[in-house]
Amino acid sequence: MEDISATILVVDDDRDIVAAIAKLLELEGYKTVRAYDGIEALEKLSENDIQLILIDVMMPRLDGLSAIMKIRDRRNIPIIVLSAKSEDTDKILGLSMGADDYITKPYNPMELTARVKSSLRRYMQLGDIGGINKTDVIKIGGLVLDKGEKSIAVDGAPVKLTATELKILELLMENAGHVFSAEEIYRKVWNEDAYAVENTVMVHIRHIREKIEIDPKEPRYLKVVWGIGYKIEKNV
Amino acid sequence: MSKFFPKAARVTAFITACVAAGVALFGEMYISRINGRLSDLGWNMDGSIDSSDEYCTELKNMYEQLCILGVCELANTDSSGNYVGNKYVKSDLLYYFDYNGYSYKKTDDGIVPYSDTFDYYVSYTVPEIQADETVTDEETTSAETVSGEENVHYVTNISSEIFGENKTEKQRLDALKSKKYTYILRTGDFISSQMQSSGTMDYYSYQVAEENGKLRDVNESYPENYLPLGGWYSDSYGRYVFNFCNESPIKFYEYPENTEVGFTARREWVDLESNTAEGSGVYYSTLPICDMPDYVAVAGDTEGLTVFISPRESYFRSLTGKYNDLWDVYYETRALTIKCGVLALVLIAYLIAAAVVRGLAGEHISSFADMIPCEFYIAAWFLILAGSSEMKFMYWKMNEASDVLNDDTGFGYMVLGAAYAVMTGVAVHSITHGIKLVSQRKLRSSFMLPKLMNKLSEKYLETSMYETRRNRPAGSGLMRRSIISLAAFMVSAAVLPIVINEQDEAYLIVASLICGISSLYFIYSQIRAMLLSRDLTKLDRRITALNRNTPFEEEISPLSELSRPSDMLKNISDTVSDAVEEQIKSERMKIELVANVSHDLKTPLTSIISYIDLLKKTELDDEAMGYVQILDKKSQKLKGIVADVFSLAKATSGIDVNMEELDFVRLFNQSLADAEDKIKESRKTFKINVTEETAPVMGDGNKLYRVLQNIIDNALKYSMDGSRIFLELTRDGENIVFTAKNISSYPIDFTADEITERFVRGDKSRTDGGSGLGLSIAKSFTEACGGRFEIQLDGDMFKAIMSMPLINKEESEEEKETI
Repeated sequence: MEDISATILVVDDDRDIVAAIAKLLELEGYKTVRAYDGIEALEKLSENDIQLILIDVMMPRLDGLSAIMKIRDRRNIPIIVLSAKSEDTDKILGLSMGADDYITKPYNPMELTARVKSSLRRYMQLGDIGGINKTDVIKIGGLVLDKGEKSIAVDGAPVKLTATELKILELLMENAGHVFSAEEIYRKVWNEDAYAVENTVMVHIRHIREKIEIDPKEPRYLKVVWGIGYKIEKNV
Repeated sequence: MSKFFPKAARVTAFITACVAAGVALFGEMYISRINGRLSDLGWNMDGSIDSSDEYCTELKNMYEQLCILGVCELANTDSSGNYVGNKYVKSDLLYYFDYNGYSYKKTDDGIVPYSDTFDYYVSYTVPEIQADETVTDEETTSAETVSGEENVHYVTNISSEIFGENKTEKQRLDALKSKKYTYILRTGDFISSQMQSSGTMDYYSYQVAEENGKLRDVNESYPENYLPLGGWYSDSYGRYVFNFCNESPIKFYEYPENTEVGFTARREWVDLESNTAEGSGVYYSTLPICDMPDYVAVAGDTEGLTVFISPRESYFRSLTGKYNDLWDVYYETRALTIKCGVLALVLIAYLIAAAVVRGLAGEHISSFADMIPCEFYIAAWFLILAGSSEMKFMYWKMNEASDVLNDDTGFGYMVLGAAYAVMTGVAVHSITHGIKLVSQRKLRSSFMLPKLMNKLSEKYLETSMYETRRNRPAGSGLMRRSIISLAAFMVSAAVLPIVINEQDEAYLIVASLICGISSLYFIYSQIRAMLLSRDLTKLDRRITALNRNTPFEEEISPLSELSRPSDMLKNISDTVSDAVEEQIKSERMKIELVANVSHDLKTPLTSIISYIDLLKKTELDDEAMGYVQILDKKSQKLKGIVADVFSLAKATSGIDVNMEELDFVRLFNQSLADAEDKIKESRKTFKINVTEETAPVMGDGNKLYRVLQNIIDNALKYSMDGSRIFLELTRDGENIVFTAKNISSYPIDFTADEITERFVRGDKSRTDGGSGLGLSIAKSFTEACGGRFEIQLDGDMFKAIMSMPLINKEESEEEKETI
């Protein structure tokens, strides 16, 4: 499914960073186009066939967020924001401007490539995913659960879960946004009385996170609500 | 000027004035007593003279006695002087006389009444009976005269010389009328009387009740039923002693109100005779003369009756003698009291003049009296007023009757006189003393109450709060008002009985004024107290508002004693809120600074990490690769430190905290489960002790998780290999306490403060793993969530204690259940 020939536009005012990212992506087999401010990014975008944009926020001439708004007027390609601002408010602002993902600097190179891959996969499969309209399919962000087939896919890539993990995920996804305590999850999944089950449930949650999240420490989907329970984010 | 008022003269004048006033006042009291006695004798306060009760009663009794005697006995006497009538009538007659206590003699010729006071003559003319007999008995004479066709029987105590040789009834009566200057004469049913004034004679004539031999309805009032008798007699001062006229006539016929007209009273008489009546002794001397038990009045019974009564001159003389004596004393006393009164007034005027003149000349010298507070004088005046009120009461009472003042001894009079003298002395002294004080301008200072209040006020001087208007200590005003209120209340209580009882309008007005002013002042002081308490409340609210850092706009009136502290408090409040704003601003700037710095650090760090990653993917020899790996490790650590510094700065500022209700026990279990892998990898044993099942707290879950994570990480990192780590979650009162204990693998060479406040203080850092900010972050995050974080060090024992306040939700629910 991976389209190796995908071209990625890397935009940052720090030329060294652009060079490093471009080298990293080229090692992964992507083509890269480089730009060093917002205006240049827009020019490069119209000159080349670009499938994904990696863009910094703070740049001269035209900043990243304004650039994203302009790009979104014309194109529907995935945009990943790359910013030194790690505040939640910054992330929310970036995502609401039309970005698909948000990576804070200093990034983990492995995580960067993983996110690029997943975004590309989702973009390429957009048509296919739109076709899936079965009632027993739950879709949250890039997370797709087919209840009938008992299968789960993250950004189009199938993931193998154990039966218990699948049940837990199913429970949480069906009630996305609702916070379940460990006891509730245990009672509903294991169908037994729950006593001192925090550990058991937590272990399963951790395992699920390792399988469906790109960065298990900064989960996008399956979140721990500390002191209360666990939930799947409703809107990702 | 003082030579006109030597001290000896003033002292003498003072003493003399007191004595004179005492004598004068006492004399007036004595005069009122004489008035009372005169009044007993028939003298009225308004100057007119009523009839003497004693005289009226005797006259009435005598008249009645003679009428009954004439009709019942003399009418039934035959010509030989023997009683021929019904024997029961005669016995009834005697019984009647006895019963009423009339004095009489029983002679062979019949009943002869006796009197010291009156000369009398009674006769009954029996027509058509021939008789000729005269009986004379010493001074009293019972005679029977036959003259022509008349048969007259008479009884008299008048000397026969008066009658002379007159033998007929008419001649006798003429002689009597001409010899006596005042009398009452009844012939048949016609009554005439003669009164004598000083030189003037007057006549009155009335019909009696038994008109045509029948009784009138005596319950009705007929003027004829009254018989006046008397005249004017002058005393030696030219005053009327007697005045018998229509004002107070003698009333002859009067039924008891509870009997019927006629003879119902007879039954009692009969009962009385047989001694069976329970109401023995009840007989009315005012019964009509015809109403004798065995005597039935018949028309014409009284036709032949003649009654003549005349007071003897000796009686009048003794009576006027009494009057004259009393009047003598009266005028002598009055002369004395006037002299003494004038003397006293003159002396008092002299003393007052002396006080005024000496005051104007400034010659007053301080004396013992200066030490007496004015309040005592005011109290003395109250006593004097009360005393004079009592005196006035006694005076008027004694005017009416003489027996009010029971203590008739000389000692009693002396005490009374002395009391008057003392009262006068106190009054005069207080007036002259008052003038002296006024002249010396010491009146105000001689009052004790203000001094007392000033003394008390000194206690309030230590305060820095002052009343704005009068510039006196705040509390002293309250104290003054309450003391004055109390005094006003006491005065009111003292004068209230006067308001209620006193008839005199002047007293009433003064007392009402005092009561009214006292009440108004009391109300005023209450209002002031209310205002003060209202201002205190405002001040308290202002302090509360300051405490909570909320705005408070309610102003305290600038007139209030609390306005100054309130204004100062407002200034403090403003300063504090400015400072808080300033602090928040600087905190924000600090965060921005840290954010900017960390951003500036992150950009080159990003390049470093990126290129190290690329290096790792490049073909390098082993040595170079080794270096790259060291670079990789250190750059990752640097990344962690930058992130920690940023989050620590944020936590210290207290912003970006999302508080929600959560279960700390669950949080603890989650954190423990989260760290399970790390725990398994380490070669350390965890001993966990959780006593609570649930522990609801308010906090930011992410931050509290970070705290627990840091504590556990810290314990894992720095504890000795193979040692045990103790984690405890217990409840301590209203707090849930998390404790982590471990044995440090390194010697502890830092203090508890150093390790938790590194970011703030910039203390020496450690070089081994981690940012070294973990515990600082734990402390900051805990405090940001409202908890407390503490490190305790004991040798190699490292103890992290974190406590969070519990929400008392359970308790309130329990309370609900119990209710």
